[in-house]
Amino acid sequence: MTCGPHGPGSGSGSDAGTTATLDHTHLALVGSPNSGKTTLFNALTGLRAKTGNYPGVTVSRYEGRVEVDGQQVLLEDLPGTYSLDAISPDEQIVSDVLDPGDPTTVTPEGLLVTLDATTLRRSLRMLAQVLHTSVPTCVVLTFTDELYRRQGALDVEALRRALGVPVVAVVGGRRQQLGGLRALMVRPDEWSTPVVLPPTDPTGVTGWIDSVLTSSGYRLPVTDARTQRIDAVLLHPVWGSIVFALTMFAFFQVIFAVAAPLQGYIETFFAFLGDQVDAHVSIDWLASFLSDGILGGVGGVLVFLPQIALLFVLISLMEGVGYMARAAFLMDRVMAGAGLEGRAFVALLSSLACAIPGIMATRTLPSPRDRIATMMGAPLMTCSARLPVYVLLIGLLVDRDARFGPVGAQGVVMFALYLVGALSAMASAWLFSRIGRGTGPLLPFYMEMPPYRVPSLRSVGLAVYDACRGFLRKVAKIILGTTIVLWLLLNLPHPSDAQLRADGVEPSDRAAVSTYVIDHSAGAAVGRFVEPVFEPLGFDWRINVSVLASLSAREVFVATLGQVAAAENPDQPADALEQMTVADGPRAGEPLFTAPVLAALLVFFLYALQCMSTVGVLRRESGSWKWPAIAFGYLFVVAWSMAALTRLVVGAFV
Amino acid sequence: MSVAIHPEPVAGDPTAVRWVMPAGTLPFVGAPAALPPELQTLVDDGTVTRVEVEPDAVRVAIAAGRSWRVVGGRVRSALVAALGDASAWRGPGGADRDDVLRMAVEQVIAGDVGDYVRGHGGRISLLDVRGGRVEVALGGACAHCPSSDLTLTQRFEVAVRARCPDVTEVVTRDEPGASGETGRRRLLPLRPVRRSAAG
Amino acid sequence: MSVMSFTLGQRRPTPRAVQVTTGSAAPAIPATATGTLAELDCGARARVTGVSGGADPATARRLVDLGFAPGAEVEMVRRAPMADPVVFRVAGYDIALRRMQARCIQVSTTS
Repeated sequence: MTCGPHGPGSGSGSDAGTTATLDHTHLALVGSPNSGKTTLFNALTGLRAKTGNYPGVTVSRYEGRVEVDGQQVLLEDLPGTYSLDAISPDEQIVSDVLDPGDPTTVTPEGLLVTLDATTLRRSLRMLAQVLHTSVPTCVVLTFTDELYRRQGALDVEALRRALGVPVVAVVGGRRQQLGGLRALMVRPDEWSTPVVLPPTDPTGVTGWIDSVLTSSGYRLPVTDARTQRIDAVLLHPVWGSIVFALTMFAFFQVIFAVAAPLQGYIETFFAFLGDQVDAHVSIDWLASFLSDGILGGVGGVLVFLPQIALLFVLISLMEGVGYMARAAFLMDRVMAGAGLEGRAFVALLSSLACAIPGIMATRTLPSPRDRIATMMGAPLMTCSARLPVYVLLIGLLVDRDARFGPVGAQGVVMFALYLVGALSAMASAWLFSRIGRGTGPLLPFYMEMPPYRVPSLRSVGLAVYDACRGFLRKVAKIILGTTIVLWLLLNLPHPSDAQLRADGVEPSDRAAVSTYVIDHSAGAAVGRFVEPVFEPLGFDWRINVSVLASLSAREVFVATLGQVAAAENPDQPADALEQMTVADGPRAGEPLFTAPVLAALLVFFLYALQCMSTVGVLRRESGSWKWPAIAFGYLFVVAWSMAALTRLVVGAFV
Repeated sequence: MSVAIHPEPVAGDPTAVRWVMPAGTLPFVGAPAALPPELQTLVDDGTVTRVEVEPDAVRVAIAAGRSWRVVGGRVRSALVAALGDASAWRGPGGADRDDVLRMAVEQVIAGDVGDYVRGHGGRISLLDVRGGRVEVALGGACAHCPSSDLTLTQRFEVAVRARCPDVTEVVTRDEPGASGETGRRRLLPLRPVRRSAAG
Repeated sequence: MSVMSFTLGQRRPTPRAVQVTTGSAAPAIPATATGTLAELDCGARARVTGVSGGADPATARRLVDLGFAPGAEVEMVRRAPMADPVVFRVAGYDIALRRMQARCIQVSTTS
């Protein structure tokens, strides 16, 4: 690195051994949130970005390649931070990467520091810290167009002189303007370095910033009139709350209702493929494996894509426009009751559609503690996959014509389940954020309220693409794997025709065969084996098998029970369920689906993490198996205890 | 409040740094006859070899073997303390405030604005500075260009004022001996420009 | 410099009513009031005099890095519907803080 009293342009003494041996230059992007850092990263690297994780932490690592005149530049997009004095794991990554003495990370050969030209008075504080790392630095000024539009002023050339490092102004993510920056990126060892480093004490830094900005002719932009006018409505105690409620309603509607037909198409398509397999593959077990195991698994993965894509379209639009910060501002007081901050609201709301997009939405939370706490609460929100289960069980539990005053009792029970789910989610988040408080420092809450901006479609598209790709790459394996394992458990060992006939089952009667197969499967053995565990809840092994099968997706519970019931009474499966009796054990012969058992099942499904897709996405978003294991464990314990309690309470009243 | 300063390198002289300070902090230019004690200490211990005052900066040179990265912090602290009390400085004998303005004009001509004029095929030179009033001569392509009145002179005056708030008036003349009329063009009082030179 | 006055612990009837201008010509020595950011009314301005993160120096450091450095001018822009958090304008941008953080920032106002 070039040190010592060199002026600009004189820093030609590259230190030996770093650039010569590598085939590419390694640079990193540093900047505060909202500084246009990721937009610049996307503009420079395009779709050639790679996502990974930093060793040992749950922080995503983004890097991409930029080719300049045949030379490769590896560009790393560091997490956004307002300071190098880290107070969170994300920020610690930035400090570690920038610290040449840190052995766990590779310090880049040069840093591109994005500074929002409209907030220079603040952002130069971080630049002062960055310059002290002695890593060659180049400043990328963003939002200069907005600075001029808001009647601010800045002499970029004078700023370059005052800072002593290269300064390049870019506007938005326009690729054609990046030529100057791209040319600079190849040789960071030739960048000018400050002749004297900025001071380190707060007052000294203030003086340095004042002086630098004065000599660069910096005039603070006037407050954005457009933003002020919009905020007067959107943050108004009454109008703001109404707009917020409408926005969230629309948001939920899009994820819930708009995604539904798209998911329907995907399901129909895979059902069609399954039928084709059934029609053309004559070996029954193979047909079943292909259609139920493989196609079911792939379909089970793809069915989430519409929701994830729509969610990220909405989230990145809200972020890009600047409404996310406003929504969080409005909801912060409410969420503070659960120990969270406002931004967690969007994640919990999305979980009403499905916990998977909900957990992915926690990426918007800057504090890892809040992120984990929200992830632990999100699976408790009543997702759409619970609906068929609830509908079936409520139908058995509550008479269709029963009423609580003017409203149908079935609807009241459904509403109560939603409400209890939401309250439990908040309670769980509160608990985990309390636990997290003991392990790390309490992060101060602060949230920049950026001016309203027109989001770049490119950034929205990339965010959606990135989310879908990440889901498919990391979660697909887990969902597909679980589906196949479950299929094997429920279908093996496969009986021979002779064996079927010996037990009085006609091999051509597919329904009867599938019931027989499930009854004699390894899964049934598991269901019987765990019977003592679920006995206090009143579940027999058939419910256990259905619960086990529903691990691939909750609605499978309905299908599996339906299959069993259809075998007993093909014309009226619902009646069959009602008439089903306990198969064995001390209660053999008694009706199985009594009110206490049904209530216990409902409560069990309310709490249990009966969804391997959620486990998979928890694994991906938290970066390790620790949190999905904790979530599965604690939710199982809660589900079991609450179900047992419910059975006792309901049993006492019925 | 302490005086806000920042360092800028001096092209071609690695021992020197211009510590840019608010214009008008010190009432003189050139080598001071006496330094405030904070700076004198650094001269006495052999760190600093030369101190020169410019309209909006103090140019400090250090001994050849020293590194600015090492001594920069000490020089900064000493300067901030020294600039906090302008009365502790003694300017060179016989200097007056027009010297500050004259040097400011010379720096502007040598700097960005001069570059701009030369880049457009023009010439600009200082004729006279008296009592806050500056007279410059325009030549070459700029001599009769109508935009030299507004754009150029405004830029010029902004740049001079940024270095020396004492300027009261800028007057441009065509270069003596240039063909055509030799008129004196008086400029309107300066209005603030909306954008800086680099905009 | 135009400075809005504020009175600690007391709501002013109209925020603009007592705007005063203290220029070089103002003969009187301005009276200063000190307090924390959390006590500012809507539209009131103050100058940061110090930041104490309570027990946590990391919070204090972060608040300085966010622009609440001693000497910085801050304006209280608006409160959320349930009085918390609060938006402040500092160093040319808007930032929302909870009252708990705002209480860590000492300010003085000139009236």
